[in-house]
Amino acid sequence: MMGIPELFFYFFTIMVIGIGCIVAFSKNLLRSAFALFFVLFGVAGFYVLLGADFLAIVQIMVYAGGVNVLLIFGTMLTSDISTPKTSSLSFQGTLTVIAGVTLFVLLAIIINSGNWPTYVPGEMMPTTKDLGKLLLKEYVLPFEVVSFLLLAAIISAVVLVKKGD
Amino acid sequence: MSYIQSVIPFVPILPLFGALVLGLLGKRIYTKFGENVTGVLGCSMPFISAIIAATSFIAINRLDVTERIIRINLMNWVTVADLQLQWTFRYDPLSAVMLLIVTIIGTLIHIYAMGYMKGDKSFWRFFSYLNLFLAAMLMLVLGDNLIIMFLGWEGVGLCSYLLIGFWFTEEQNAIAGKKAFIVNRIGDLGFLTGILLVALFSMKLFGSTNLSFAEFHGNIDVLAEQTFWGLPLLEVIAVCFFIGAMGKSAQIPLYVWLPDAMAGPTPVSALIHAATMVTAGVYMMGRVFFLYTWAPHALGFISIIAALTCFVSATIGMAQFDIKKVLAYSTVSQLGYMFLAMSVGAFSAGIFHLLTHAAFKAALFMGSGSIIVALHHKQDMREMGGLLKKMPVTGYSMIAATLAIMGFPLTSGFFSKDEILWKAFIQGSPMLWLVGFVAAGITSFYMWRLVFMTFFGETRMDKHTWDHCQEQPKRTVVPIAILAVAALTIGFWNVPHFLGGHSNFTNFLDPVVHDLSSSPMENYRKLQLIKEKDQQESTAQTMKTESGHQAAASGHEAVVDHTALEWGLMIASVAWTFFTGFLAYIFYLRNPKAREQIMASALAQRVFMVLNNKYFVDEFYEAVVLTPIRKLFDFLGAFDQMVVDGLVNFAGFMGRITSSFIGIFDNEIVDGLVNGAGWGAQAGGKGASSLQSGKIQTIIGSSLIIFIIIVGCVVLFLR
Amino acid sequence: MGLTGFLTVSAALFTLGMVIFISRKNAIAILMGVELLLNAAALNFVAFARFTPSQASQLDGQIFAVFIVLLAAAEAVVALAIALSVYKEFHQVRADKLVSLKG
Repeated sequence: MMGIPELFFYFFTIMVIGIGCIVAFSKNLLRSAFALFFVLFGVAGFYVLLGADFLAIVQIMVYAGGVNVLLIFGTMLTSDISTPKTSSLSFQGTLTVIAGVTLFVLLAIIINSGNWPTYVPGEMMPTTKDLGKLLLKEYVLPFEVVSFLLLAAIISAVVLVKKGD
Repeated sequence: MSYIQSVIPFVPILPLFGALVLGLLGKRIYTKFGENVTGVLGCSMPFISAIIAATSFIAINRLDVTERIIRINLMNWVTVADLQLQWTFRYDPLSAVMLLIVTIIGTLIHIYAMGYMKGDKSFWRFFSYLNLFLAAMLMLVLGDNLIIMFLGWEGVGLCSYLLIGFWFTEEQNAIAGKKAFIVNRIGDLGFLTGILLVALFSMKLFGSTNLSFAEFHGNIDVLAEQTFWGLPLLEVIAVCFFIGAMGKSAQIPLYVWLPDAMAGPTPVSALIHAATMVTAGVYMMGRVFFLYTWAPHALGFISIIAALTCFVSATIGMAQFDIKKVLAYSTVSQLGYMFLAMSVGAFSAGIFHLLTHAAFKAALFMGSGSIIVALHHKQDMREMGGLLKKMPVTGYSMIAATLAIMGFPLTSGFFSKDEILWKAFIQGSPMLWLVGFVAAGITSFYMWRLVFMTFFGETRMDKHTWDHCQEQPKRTVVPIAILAVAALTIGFWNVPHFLGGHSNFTNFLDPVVHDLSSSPMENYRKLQLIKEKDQQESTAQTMKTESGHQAAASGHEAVVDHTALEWGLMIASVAWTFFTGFLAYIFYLRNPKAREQIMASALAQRVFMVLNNKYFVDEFYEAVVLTPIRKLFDFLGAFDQMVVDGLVNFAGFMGRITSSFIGIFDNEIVDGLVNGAGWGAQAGGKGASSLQSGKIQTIIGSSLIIFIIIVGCVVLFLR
Repeated sequence: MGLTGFLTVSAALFTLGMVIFISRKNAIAILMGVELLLNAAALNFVAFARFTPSQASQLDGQIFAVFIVLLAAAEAVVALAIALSVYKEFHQVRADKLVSLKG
């Protein structure tokens, strides 16, 4: 008997892998970029299933709202999207797909034969408050470093793009 | 929180801070405020560190002997499942001694460098690197676990590379830097393998590990039962660690980088390649001495390497004319002495020689640097002579340091070297002693040769240089003089018992480094006996174990009175060094004709040529290691061009030929298929040749494939 | 829907990212591959965090995932800036055509 969470799990799995294939093999770069949005959304769904509510929201806001929009802009700014026919599967492409499938099979074998600690997870709790406490207590140094890194990223992006003018 | 605990973390942090400030803002400071401000800024951080080191040293001396191991936990670093690494510093007598050496000599050399690097346009960069070096070295010394030590170990390697190639505009310097770096990597691989073995087995046996020295020490007798590929685990680890030491401390066969490293500025040679970094290997062995007590075969191997290094590099030193090269080979030879001491279980003697060597070799290098600057960067001793009149402070300091290195009675080298030779005789074998003894004579010979060729006799330089040559400014010569005084006096710290002393240094180190009381092999047997007894008696009584310990540890032989033998060996070596020193006096000052007569014979010529060319070791490596590799590259390149490209073109060509040929016959049915075949052949050719294109995706793709093959093998066959 | 299920999905995501990273020619498509790789790693962290015995370390895993998201954002910003300036210089962003380091 499948419960609701199982149903959602399989739904998200199909969504992530199926749409991920569109990202990988679509000839139209813009289509890839839009497909990526749904993949990231699917990953956010997995986070919900894993009880990470805050993370799921962050995933949607930062990735879907930020990174993905940036990617779409980047695509539109750098390539001629009116004639979308850049071949994506060269000889190397086929070889890579074969290698990728082999890699996946190997990983799946390892994962399914590994002796993971079997533990039945408890109730899902809201995590936002505790995460905030952790970020400002135990993880305050990495947190500050990441803030600094983001600042550096912003400045370097501006410098890089302005340099030519 | 005691005084030591609160200040020790600053010892490495301050130079690191200095390195950052000078590295990031140095250029501005330099152009705005000039050389002096930059130099003082660069010197101040090591100076404060030195003060901290000195005061902590006094503080630790006041503590009770049992409380002298102080661990300062700063924070957690890596905490995953069974690996619990921490940022912990360890201040104990061994690191206290090393801290004194590194910070005080470091400070003196910083001050000296202000004079030496005068007018260099990368003045600030030099001081930034030097500070960074000190930070890394202090971390190496203070680290409480193997990983922090390794971090410092790699840090000093990096700084060594940066500083050897400091004047990188000349290609020779850049090549010397690269050589040092690559040779050191070979050694580091050994060290890292050792660390990983320790980690692997600790995790397997004890569940979790923090890789700290205390934990390693505590587990040593459990680890001693393990085997790795059929060999005793501890022997393997011991050899791996020694390979690391081989690279860093320039032992045969990895010593080749050190003489080339003299391409760097002289303060660097004095600080890094004489006093501190190259002794890291010796320090590391002292730190994990308990490992070596369980690995007598590894010690036997080390003793052979050490004796060989000691002798071979001393003989090379006899036939060099570049003043810094002589000192470089001398350093290699003295490092051989230290490892000789370590290999016979006289760990404290090795560390003590490290201390005295740091003082006199730094003085010698700084003196040579002062001469080099005075002579406008001439390093050939054949163009020197008579400099004592012109440069008295440098001259007398170097003579003092030479007295120390030759082992003149009551100087520092006398005590340390004599201790090593004695231990080599009594705990090693007479052969080891003989090699050390002969090398001591050779040391005396080439050092006096250096002194006589540079400071005495008629000058052999041209008039212009002679007139312009003068004593260096105070900031250069005062540090040399301080170190020379230290070189003369520091030996009194460890006066042995038979001369009426108390071996204070050995006792000071005793809480962390115990010397073996007999030869490594016998000691190992004793350890095993104790263990067997423990196992037997643990079932019977616990009371007896105590007495069993003591019986096996101390009372296996009656103490033989060796005083007469000790005096005899000491007098022999003093007489022998005096003799060879006198020989140098005759050959290079009194009667050069005699030398020329000897050198005229064909045999002497040949010997000299071999020595002067350093036994052709570099040429040997070139022929045996580098040329085949280059040939392989050439071959692969040619293979790629001729065979792969040829095949590819041929396949594509054939594909096209066939397709067009068949196309004539059967245009309509098989056309598409045939074109497909031709296209496939062409694409295959492109794919194969793109492996050589240097595009990053191709490279990642091929590494992915290799990764898959490896993982596949593991999954399918090795489980 | 146990731990292995999530790990398998994450392995699939990782493989997809790897394939994109190696086979696509457009620099921006490569960037998408990198995002997938990072997402796979983050998913692993959260999955392990959910199925470990203690409540405290569940949040440790999620914190890592948060940092991964932040790093991915920073990386995307810089990489896109580089892509834009490359486009200005060469009028294309195809990774297989950009082989010379000196511009």
